[in-house]
Amino acid sequence: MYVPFVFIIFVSFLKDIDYSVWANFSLQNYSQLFSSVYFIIWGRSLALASVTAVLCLAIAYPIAYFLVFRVARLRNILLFLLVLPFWANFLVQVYAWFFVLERGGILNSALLKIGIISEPLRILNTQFSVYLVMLFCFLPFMVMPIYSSMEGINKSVFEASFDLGANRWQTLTRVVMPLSSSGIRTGFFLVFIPSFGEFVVPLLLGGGKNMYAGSLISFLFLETKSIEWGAAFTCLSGIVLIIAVFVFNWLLKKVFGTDRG
Amino acid sequence: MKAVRKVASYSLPVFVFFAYLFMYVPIIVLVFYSFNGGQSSHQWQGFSLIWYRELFSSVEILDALRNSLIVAFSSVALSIVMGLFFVFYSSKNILQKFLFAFYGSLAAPEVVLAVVLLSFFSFFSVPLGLTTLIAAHTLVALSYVTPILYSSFKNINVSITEASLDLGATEWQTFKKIIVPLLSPAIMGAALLVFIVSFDDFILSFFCSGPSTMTLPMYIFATIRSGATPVINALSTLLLIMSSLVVLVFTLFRVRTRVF
Amino acid sequence: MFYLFRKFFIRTLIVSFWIGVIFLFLFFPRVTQLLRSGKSLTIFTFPLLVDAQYISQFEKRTGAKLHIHYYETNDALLAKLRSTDQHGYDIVFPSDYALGQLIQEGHLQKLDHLKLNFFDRINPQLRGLYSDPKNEYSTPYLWEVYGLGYDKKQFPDGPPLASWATLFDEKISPAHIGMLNNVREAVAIAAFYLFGFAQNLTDAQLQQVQDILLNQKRRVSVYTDLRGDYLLLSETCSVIACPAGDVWMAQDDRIEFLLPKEGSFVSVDNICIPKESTNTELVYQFINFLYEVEVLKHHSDKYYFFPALTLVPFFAKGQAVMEHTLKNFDKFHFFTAAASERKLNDIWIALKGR
Repeated sequence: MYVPFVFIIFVSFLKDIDYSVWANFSLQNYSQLFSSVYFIIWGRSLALASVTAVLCLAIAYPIAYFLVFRVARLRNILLFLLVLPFWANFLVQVYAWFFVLERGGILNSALLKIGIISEPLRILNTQFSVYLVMLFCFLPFMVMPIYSSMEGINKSVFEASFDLGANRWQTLTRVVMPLSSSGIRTGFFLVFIPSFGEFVVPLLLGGGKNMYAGSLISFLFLETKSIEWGAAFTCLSGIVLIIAVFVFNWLLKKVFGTDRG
Repeated sequence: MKAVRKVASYSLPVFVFFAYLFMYVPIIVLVFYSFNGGQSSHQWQGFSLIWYRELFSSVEILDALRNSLIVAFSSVALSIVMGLFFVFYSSKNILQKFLFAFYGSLAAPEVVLAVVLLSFFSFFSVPLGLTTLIAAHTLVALSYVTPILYSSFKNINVSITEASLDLGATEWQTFKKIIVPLLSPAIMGAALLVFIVSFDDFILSFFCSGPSTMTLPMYIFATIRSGATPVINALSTLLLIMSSLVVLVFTLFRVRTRVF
Repeated sequence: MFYLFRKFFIRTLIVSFWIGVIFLFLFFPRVTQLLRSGKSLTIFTFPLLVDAQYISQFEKRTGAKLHIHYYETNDALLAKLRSTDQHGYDIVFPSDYALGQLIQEGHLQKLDHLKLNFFDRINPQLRGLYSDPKNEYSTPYLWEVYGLGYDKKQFPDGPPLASWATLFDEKISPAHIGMLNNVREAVAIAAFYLFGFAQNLTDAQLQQVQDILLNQKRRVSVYTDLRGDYLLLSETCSVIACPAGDVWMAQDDRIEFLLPKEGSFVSVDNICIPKESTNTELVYQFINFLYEVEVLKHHSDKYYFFPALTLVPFFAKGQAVMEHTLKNFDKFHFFTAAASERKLNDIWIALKGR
């Protein structure tokens, strides 16, 4: 009855490393990955992941704050509403953004009618639309952990802080943020890590023009015969990701403080 | 000063309102166009229910839906059972260290997990099919389930279990009669979460499915790429309605879960 | 001491038991496949090649159940077949170059021509393609020609130049174009534009191809193999490289198809049987069904592909293009691999990566 299930996890991780060594050109695969184009791809994915995470944070934090501290009665309904899009199929929602962003779509028609622009904008198939939809996809993931950690904050800290002479802004940055920082970090990585490997959104919304780490992994595994190449790239991407995570973790701790701080 | 205060106090709700609006734009569009009478997906051509009719007569969609449901339910069941066992036996400290292994599949981007599993399966010549998909989803589900169950488990007052053991119940009886009911909010929350994750999951299915399996997200992806009709809108609207009913029922029973 | 040993022994037994259970679970489908009786067919096809609702007629006729699975690109087809060792599919529809790879890798079984009742009616120009010179493994089904689709609204002064230069030459190329999202096809077209039809390009030539594709990327709005009509009609692109069928399918006068005058590419979709398929009787029945005149005509009309049988008439505009293509068949080429797969992939990664 003991847990052999753990075996599967370990083996699956083992396979990953084994594989690229298995085929005879083990180091060869890795060495050719150190050319500039792969660095660009990793850089692009890191940029996507970090911008998405930062934007999500910027938008999710006020939302969570609002939900925890400002509303009492409507809170359950609003939470429910926040979670509901989670239930609609992800792909279909991405698809629905087509209707909004395309040249004959809702956004453009609205802007034209109001008269802000004279010709429909090209929003779709640009980096902007990719980032926009990524933000849309990952916002709930950021709100939930922050909300959870804020919920645990004792409301009397506000009183205490005001009594000690802090104004609202100071209260926010010196008291609330550090207390919710573990939630911030959880949410950040809940968004950062999947965004790094995301390829569906850039494919559908970006016109397939740029490769991200995820698209390259998918390309190497599905469209080439050389799986060792793919495995090597995947391993390296994993290492890049882990390094990035450590860096951001340190950064976030510096900016937002830790729970003890 | 007062005016600034007023503006400031209004700006937050307004901001949140727009944020929610942003989140709901695609859903509104989706539902709206599911009633579109015409073939074209982006021009309004009159109200009609033809897409709903076509939805019910399309064998492929129903097949895909059925597959998705089978996979989702199975992975929920399997992962909850496994998670419970693991949580229970981890009270012996050796296994606590293994807890971190479960975070692994959450910490990796899904693509990475998918390709790792794919190469694992093809290395052992495991035939890809519904079962491999269930296995893959269960693996991912475990990494959601275990932390949730474990943190809830830790919060159970130790004295309750001690009391139960003192009163003569065996470990297994304690588990069944005390721990499981106490964990049931967490179990329900985890089950719901895993169900959505599995039902919605596209990337794992894309890589790990076999010849006879097409899940709903895969079908949707295929039709989006090659020309979709508003049948998909109709499907999503129905799914949305059904799932909101489920969630509504769930919250109406006032079961509070602490997810993270 | 002995007690510890026994404990260890029991634990290993339990562990291996569970591993056994898991492996049994994983290998279960193979067992069910063996036990399944043969009255069903699994088809793996491109969505626009076989009309699911129409072929339910076949189900009624023979009482067999048809399962259809879709792929959107030939690469997806290859990946699936490679990774599943063809278990489970009875019929596949690869394009010509995928066909070559499938034959090379031994995934297909030979066709029994005695069982095919239509083969003499297939257009002789389509028989014996480079990938399967004796048609041992495949029979051509539908084919298409590639060219330029354009949006008349974006070109009020008349159509753009009917040549690949419209896509590649930066002096005349419009700002928002669409290009094929497939490494083989993109490289082949670029190489054709630069050097005329060539195979086994040198490294220097490949570098030129890469440069021109990178140059083109600035003007590209979308890379895609599918839905050319949607891209043109929604004004996302003004010109795109696509198969003719994409443009005609929209049946909208606003978009038109142009055949480049220096020649172009054709792609033939073939029907093949994977090696592991055992439903031979049913499979051949189905293939013969697909080639019945009304059935082929239905598919060809619905999806605007050219039919492979000589006797099936096609709609007027398309007929003209088809006949023109057949008459000048030497000017039309297939998407053969212009260089080794490794080099092609390098170009593609460089193109998409930068």
